[in-house]
Amino acid sequence: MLRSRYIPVLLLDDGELVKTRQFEEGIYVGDPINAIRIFNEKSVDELGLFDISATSNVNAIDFGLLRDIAVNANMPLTYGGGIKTVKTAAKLVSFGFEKISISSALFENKNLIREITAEIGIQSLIACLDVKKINNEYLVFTHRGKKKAPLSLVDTLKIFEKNPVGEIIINSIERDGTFVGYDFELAKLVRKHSSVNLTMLGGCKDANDFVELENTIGICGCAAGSYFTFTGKNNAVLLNYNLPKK
Amino acid sequence: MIGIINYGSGNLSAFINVYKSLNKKILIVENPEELDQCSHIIMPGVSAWDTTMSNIDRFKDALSNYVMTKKIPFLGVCVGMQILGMDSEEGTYSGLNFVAGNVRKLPFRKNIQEKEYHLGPILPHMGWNNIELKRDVPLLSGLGENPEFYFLHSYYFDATNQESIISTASYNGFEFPVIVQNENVFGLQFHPEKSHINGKILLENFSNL
Repeated sequence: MLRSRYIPVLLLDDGELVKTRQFEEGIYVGDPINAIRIFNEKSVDELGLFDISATSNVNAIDFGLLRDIAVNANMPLTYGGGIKTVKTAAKLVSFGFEKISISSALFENKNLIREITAEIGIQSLIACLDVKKINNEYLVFTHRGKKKAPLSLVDTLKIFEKNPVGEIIINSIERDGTFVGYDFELAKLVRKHSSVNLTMLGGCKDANDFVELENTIGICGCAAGSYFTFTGKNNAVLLNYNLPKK
Repeated sequence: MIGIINYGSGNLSAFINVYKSLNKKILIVENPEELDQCSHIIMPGVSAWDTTMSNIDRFKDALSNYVMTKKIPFLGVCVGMQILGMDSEEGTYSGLNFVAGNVRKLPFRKNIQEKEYHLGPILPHMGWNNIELKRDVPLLSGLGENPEFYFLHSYYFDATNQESIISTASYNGFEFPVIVQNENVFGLQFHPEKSHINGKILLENFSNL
């Protein structure tokens, strides 16, 4: 039986790992290579790595660092941030990233999905959508939550029914780093309108949240940043991989 | 020496890490002539079919010589397994035809209405799944009954001969081959290099063949 994937997500900002709260300025949580080694030892299901400084800067993808990370990683690896071309996508796959993720470029180049999937395969392309609930409506944002996307969430999901991607990551902006729990309503909405593999990110409270997410939308990706980064009631930085008890 | 073919497919480093931790000698094979130094050959793969076939074109003659004539143990991984077949629904190029079979798209789950929120197909088959052993072979020694491996694919190897199927997995109620063998040629649909301890055991077994 296929089972749900539990996925620590790390954020890169100018070469350092940070953890944001509601997409605001992140706090420093450590060195990326060290974090990769710790998660290697914990045999994590997958690891997501997003460079939150890459999209807004020109040529900001730090290929040297990403190559180092890929060389050190023994788990399935995803990278997102600043990818706008087939060439970049293919280059990152050649480094050893199983999956690469695009976000803002989805709205800038209509043909990009097909171009990338023809080169690296549908299974290796992820669409990551940063979503915020405003006036009871879910809206998609890009550029660290600053720029509203031209399409609604449901219309954006329709893109992937015509031009398939391997996975969609839905990241809740207002729940980011808050430990208030996943947005199950959002998860259900996306599941209803999409036939693509779904991974939820943003707000994970505890290991029971994973179980509840799975009960809500079926086998899925359960991704979390803060939950796997901080430990204890004082939220000390201590990378962990605490999963639901079987 | 275990040769890992570098045709720009990525994830070589994961194989290198596993074999380094096992103190096994490895060679990153950049040119077909280097296959001469290899006791074992691994063909990794994260890509689309046509990209892969076109990138390995320069290795084709040498592979035919070392793998099919000289019978060097060969392990194809993911799309590196699929290209062992004749052709694929994913592309137009011909495969290597080292193991009889055709590569087909996994069936959609259109007719499976287990739960209302599942609208349709969920492809690729992505994540950790158990495999079912059909035959007892040295490659799988020490792995137990239903070991778990990491999968990431939408196409599968439809083996022509039942006896070439060593192991299967099930997804959406559909059972398909995930390890195939033709003498010294092995194909794995999953990624042993990213499957932690189970992958390490399997890769060690392969290096001892």
